[in-house]
Amino acid sequence: MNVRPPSEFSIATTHGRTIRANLQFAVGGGRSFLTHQHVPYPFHLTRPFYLDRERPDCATVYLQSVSGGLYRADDLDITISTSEGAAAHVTTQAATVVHDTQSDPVRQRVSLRVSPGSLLVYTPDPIVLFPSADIVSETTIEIAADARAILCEGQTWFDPLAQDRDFGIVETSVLVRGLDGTLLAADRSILPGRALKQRYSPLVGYRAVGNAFLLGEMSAGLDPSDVERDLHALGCLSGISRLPGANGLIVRLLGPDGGTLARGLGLVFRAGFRAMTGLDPAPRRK
Amino acid sequence: MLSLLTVLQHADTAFPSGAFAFSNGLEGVSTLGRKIDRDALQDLVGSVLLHRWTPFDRVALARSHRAGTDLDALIAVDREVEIANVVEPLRTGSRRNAGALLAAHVRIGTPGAERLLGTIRSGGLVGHLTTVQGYLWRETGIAEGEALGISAYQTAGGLVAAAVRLGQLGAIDAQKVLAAVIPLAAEAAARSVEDWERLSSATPFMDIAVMRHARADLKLFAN
Repeated sequence: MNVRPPSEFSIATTHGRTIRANLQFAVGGGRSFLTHQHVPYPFHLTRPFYLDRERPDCATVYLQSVSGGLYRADDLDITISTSEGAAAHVTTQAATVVHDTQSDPVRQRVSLRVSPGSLLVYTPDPIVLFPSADIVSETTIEIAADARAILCEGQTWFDPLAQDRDFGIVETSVLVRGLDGTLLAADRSILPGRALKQRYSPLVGYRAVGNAFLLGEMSAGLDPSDVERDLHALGCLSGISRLPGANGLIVRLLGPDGGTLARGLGLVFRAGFRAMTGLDPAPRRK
Repeated sequence: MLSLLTVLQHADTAFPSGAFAFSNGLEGVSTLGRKIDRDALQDLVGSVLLHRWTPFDRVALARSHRAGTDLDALIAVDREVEIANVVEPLRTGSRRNAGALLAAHVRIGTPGAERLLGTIRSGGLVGHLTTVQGYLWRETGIAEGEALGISAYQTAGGLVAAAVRLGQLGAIDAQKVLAAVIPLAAEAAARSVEDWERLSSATPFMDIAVMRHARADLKLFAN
């Protein structure tokens, strides 16, 4: 529930790490390259891989925290952009754990800027909330009218001591804007961990929740019923809907656990990539 | 007594609000193969009240009510509802239900109803349900707190009535569910709406149900 003023999450702190990462992709000579990268500790970035034989221009990189996850009051700011005509996929090698934040939440802002004619795919694995973990996450995607983008996000929770303790709270916002900054769609959610064990749980027993946003022209087509059926076969309950004001779809998913949700989000990525490019993506090995 | 009777008039299911055409996901839940017995219905209604109505409709309705006859403020709230309502069947359902409610008020002659209709027809306002409710209920003299009470009650009552019409449970069990969730509705409606609150919701299961329902071949309700 939206019951806490943001001031409670705005207390200046000296405990957390401030981390600013910036990736810029541009196309040249038939390939997309990282023309700028600033990736400080604890992030680690792989070199670009060109995995898709039929889309050799598409660069895939893995962005990962090497410090064992996110901790109290960490303040992350990740900016990724594609210049005109570039194609890039930024993903992770594994889920990211959010540890006990002792009421001083992790803050994460992700800014994606997708220039005309470009393709940007951002598919981090679901985050795993440990007991008393709080995170406030805002992802903004600014996208040109003729650009395409795929964005996935998800959360699950886990108590390493198997004591069934609750995570704190997860606040997520995904904002879709035009390149001029006009807000086209805003999906905001606030989920307190304690609510999931109470009578009126909005997840009705599921233990992982995620969303995918497929933005831009999908010239090869995507049948929502087919995607929902395939997700059901994987063990995910899902629904697909058109977004307001934007040429795009939202896919909501519920899964019995984080692994199933991750596989479901992977399936949606492949369906979206196929719909946008007409090609099946090569496996992104993890 | 006048304010009580005015509230009763506008909360009454006999008022031609158009709400009877919308199940807001309940029919979708039944088509997912889930049995909606008394306990399950109470769980669903409670989760909608706590995790959808409270952070979304309550905020939007209070802001619309506070906008009063300031059309620029009303347009801003309405635009926010359009942008934040990412589930298409809920978004279109909100607009259609608002249209039916406004049409009834125009015919009744509620002050300001013609003006609001003109603003929507001119394209100045999309016209979502909470926007139209906030504006019209204020025009009829209903205070913000009472408007929130009507909206919370109608949200719960609409889901319960849909379950009865779908044959999922009888009228007596339906009233037991309603009685059980009314304290939740009352508590949520009594909570003041703060300026910092943004429209949000956390009802993925109901969202999925209403999304899938939109493509069903046979359906009783519009969403």
